[in-house]
Amino acid sequence: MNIENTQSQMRKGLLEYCILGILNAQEAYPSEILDKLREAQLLVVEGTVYPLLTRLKNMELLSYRWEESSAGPPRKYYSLTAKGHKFYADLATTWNELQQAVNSLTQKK
Amino acid sequence: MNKTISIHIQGFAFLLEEQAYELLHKYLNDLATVLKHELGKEEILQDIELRIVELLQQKLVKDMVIQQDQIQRIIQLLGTPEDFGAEGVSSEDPKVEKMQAASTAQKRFFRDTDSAILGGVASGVAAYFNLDVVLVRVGFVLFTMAFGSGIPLYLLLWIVTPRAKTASDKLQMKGVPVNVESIKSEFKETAERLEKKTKKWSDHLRPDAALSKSTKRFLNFILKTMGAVFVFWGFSSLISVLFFLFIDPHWIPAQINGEFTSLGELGKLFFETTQILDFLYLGSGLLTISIALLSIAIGIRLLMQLNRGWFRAILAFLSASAIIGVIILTIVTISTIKSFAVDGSLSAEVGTYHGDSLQLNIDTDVQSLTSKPNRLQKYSGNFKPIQSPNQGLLFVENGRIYNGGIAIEYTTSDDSLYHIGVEKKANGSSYVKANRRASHIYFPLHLNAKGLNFSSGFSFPIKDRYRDQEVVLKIAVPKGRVVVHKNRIVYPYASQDISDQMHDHAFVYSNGNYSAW
Repeated sequence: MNIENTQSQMRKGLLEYCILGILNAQEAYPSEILDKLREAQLLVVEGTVYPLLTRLKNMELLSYRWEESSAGPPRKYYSLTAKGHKFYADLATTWNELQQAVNSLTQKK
Repeated sequence: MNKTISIHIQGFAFLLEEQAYELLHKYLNDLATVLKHELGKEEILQDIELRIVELLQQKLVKDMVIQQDQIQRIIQLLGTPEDFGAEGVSSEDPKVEKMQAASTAQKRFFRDTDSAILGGVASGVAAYFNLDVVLVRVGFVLFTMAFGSGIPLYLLLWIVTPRAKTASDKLQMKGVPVNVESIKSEFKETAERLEKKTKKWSDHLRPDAALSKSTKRFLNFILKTMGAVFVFWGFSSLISVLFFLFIDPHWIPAQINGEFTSLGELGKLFFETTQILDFLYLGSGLLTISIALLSIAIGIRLLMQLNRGWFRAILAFLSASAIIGVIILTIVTISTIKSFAVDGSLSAEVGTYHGDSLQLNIDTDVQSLTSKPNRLQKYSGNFKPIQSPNQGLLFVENGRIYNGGIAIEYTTSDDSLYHIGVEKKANGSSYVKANRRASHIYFPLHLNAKGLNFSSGFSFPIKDRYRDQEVVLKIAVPKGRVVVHKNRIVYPYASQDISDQMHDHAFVYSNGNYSAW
């Protein structure tokens, strides 16, 4: 297994948490989410985000509304549901714990 | 110059280059395949299409035609179908995972229409068994020429085998495991193939697997030669079919009213009604002519490029007419076999003969057998072995069919007399009909002081048709006596070892030759 593969697996694993994080701050349509992920260098390929969004929506963590756009096709604005907010809060706790655990482990070296 | 295609995605119109369109179309199809186990597949695809619209619009100058490389860039950005599969499928669903695992290295038989000459059967077989496609094609052609089995085999495989449509089909066809890398490379290959499709015909014949260039050239040469053979074979069989059916070939060993005849006229001696004969004509004509034309068409296809749509239409039409021909022939055959179903036989004791040896005098005058009935009755029994000028397998005159050849059956007599009998045999659809036919057999036989005089053949009326009519001469020979033909003892067989060499059967040919067996 090469380094790139491992890196991409790590990014992929965090993708769900990061998308929830973006939407926790404010509602967004897929292209915005993609831009933010790209800025943060978390994006592997764009395509992977769409199935993820649909799955989160099917888990009732996300909901969306349509909005007409003057520049292009109509946009699907996603936002967190109440369940989504709670889910994100839980994940954030886990993430913080993990981060500390990983830091303490790797810095001791 | 390139063709453009106007499409709309999620209600937005775009103008695409043909190749760009095909690439995009295939991409979306493959995505649909990869996502087929995903909940909300329609929605995901809709989202992706919207994203494609967005990306296309960003770069788009008004009325500009979208090129293939633009689509490729978009695909790069969005990710290959397999990226979707790996991420999209939830790991909590073990069923889906299992299905995916099962579908990996499994090899399946598909038709490879990307490198097809006809229906892609040969290239499919080549992919499945990992052979060079040219070898498989040569094999099909050889099978066709050797046993005629190549064509039906090909058509059968064409009908039952699915076409490799999607990227994962094509990978399964080659037995490559369906995973990220393989789908990616298959995808790349498809894009390349789309470019190649516009290239010349010679590329179509290109062998896929590793074979040296000279071998490839040699195999291609064989294919072309076979194409020429097919065309030649098709034309010559077409000509011979027409010749056989409609012209009187003089080398058919049969005569009607003193003239050589055609197969058609011969058929009338065999089939009960002219309708059956018409059907036979129709069936065999359809079958043979369409097979000849099929062979010409396939030959031409092997030799040069043809419009594939046209070619397929021609193939379908010819195959259909060949199949109809076979069906008609089957019906005719069954109805004819039925008319042979029952054996009939009539036996009669002709008389007895007293003496030390029985002389067999065989008359070969065919004309006397088929003369008008009043002349037949006048038949005096003045047997003279004359070689008939009209020697043939079948001879028809005055409404009667002459059949050469008489069987002889020897038995041992119970007393000191020769007992001579005749059995007449014929077939028919019923016992009554078979026996009536047997009774119509005319076989003159005279027993006098000189011996047994009989003809080397027999005749029966045309209206009876040919139904395996037979005459068996039965001779019971007293112990110690002999049967003589042309001053030669023919029974018991004159050899040192009489006990071993008893011949109970003999046959008299139409030319008067006697042979024991």
